[in-house]
Amino acid sequence: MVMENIEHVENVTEITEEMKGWIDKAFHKAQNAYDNGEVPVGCLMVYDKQIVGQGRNEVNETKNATRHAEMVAIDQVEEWCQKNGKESSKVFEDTILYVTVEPCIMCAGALRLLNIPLVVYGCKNERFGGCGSVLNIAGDDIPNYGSPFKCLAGYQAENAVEMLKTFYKQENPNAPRSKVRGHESSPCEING
Amino acid sequence: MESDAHNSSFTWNAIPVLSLEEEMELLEDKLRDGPPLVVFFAATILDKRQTSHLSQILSATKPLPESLRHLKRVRSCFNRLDILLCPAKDHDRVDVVKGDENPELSKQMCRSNGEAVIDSENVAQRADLVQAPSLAEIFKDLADLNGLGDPFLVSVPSKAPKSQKDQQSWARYWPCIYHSKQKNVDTEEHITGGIMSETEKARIGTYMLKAVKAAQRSQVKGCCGAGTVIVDPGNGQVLAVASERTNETGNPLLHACMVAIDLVAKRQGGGAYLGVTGEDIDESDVGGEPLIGMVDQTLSCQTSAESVKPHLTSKKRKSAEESKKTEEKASYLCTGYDVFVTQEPCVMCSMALLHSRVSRVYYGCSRPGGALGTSYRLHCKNDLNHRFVVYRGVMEEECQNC
Ligand SMILES: [Zn+2]
Ligand SMILES: [Zn+2]
Repeated sequence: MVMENIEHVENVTEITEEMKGWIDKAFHKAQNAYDNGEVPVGCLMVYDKQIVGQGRNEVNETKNATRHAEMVAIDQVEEWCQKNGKESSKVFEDTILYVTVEPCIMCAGALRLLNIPLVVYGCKNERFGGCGSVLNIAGDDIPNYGSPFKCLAGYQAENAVEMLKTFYKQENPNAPRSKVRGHESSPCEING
Repeated sequence: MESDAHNSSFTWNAIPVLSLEEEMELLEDKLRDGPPLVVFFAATILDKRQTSHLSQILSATKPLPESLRHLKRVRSCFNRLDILLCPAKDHDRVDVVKGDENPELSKQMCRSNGEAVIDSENVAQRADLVQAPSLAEIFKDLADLNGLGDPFLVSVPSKAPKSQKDQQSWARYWPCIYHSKQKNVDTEEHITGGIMSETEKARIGTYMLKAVKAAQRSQVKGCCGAGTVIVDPGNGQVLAVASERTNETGNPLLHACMVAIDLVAKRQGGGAYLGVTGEDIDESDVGGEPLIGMVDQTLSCQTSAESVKPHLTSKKRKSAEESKKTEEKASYLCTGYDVFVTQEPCVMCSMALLHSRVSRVYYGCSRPGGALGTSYRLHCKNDLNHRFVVYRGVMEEECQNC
């Protein structure tokens, strides 16, 4: 079954119906983030046709700027592996990440370190994107830094952008006021 | 200890990691030994009572190009006032220093008329130019320029001075306006690669030593990773000491910087890594020697349970002014904090520090794939929302061996 999955990932060139189903679920997580006053980004990690980790932004509640949806989901995969007696390094190599917004440079670095083979995302992250928007951490040749990964983008992109825009129409209550007001580009500051 | 050119008692140097543009500029400045120049038409104000009238007219009709707004419009030179008219070639600037590109012009420039030459440099302050156009040629439709002498050529700095020193020495070409950058006090020193004071080196070394010790401890546990220390430079307080925890936890993302960032979050009542609480902070401060009055031992030795308490409790001990200052900074992630790390942070860690809005990062040795100088320069990327200052080479040898 795992072998099937590897072949699947390597040959995949477009977003399949099955993938769309997973992305739709990632959007539920994004909505959940929104409802909790966090930047509306959500994600799922799918291994062997089941969800092994999911996450949404938790930056404000943890006061830790690195707690993006992807990082939260990665930690859940670790837990899942422990519970199910799997070797996490092997599981990550066969796991697909579904996320509503392009992973940022930091998360892209983390995904490389874990050898995640494929990322399916909704809209571009013009501010911090690490899969081509600001830098191409996904594809660059970086010494001693895990493996490059493939990206499939665009499904539900408008929906993802719309959620972020709505979110940023309100102020981020945890950011210092001057920072939010004084920053011309804060409306699209994506902590994804 | 070897003593270097500056008789330093340290064997290492903190080297600023600049953006590519800054690096090129610095190199050019070093090679050039003087400001880059651009040729302007100027004229002497014959009737000094007309000075403000003339500068008004000129500012309105021939405003200085955006990139040359650092030039003062009028200079006072041997009791005479000269005013800038316009660039000699508006879209094709002539760099007089590279005079051989235009031998005709540079010869003319150097045949200076004795009266106006202020310094003995090869660059003329004022040159009689045979082809210098008349006022009428420059200002076709302006009749109201009474009181101006004949136009002459002058070489003026084409870039704004970056320091007061530059401003003073460039004034011999033409007086410039200098805006000191208020935001980053050490920017000037950072950009120009200025020499760091011994006191500053001692401060940096003290914190880096802590990072080195943390890294050594992680080695003992079978890790190859770095050590990271986060400090509030406002009061010198050590907020986090962390080492890489990938091996012992089996989580390949628990690099020292990620752990340190979370330790700071825990101090602020947040935090995410439940299993990785405080251990390193405790060990490092209990085990280490007391550090020259800069470390708040009480706070650094807190148990993990205590460190979850809101940071306000501990602040009451400090003076009102100090705590107000700290509170403003401490209230949002790692804003304003200094980070000391034995090895150049990777992509993930560098971006994590950027997301956390740290203000300075000092690291020991560069490494392949590093994102603060080697593979990328994330800290000075224009299209990211936060920039910070980075120094490398701090206790490089010790960092290499740990
Ligand atoms: Zn991210
Ligand atoms: Zn790292």
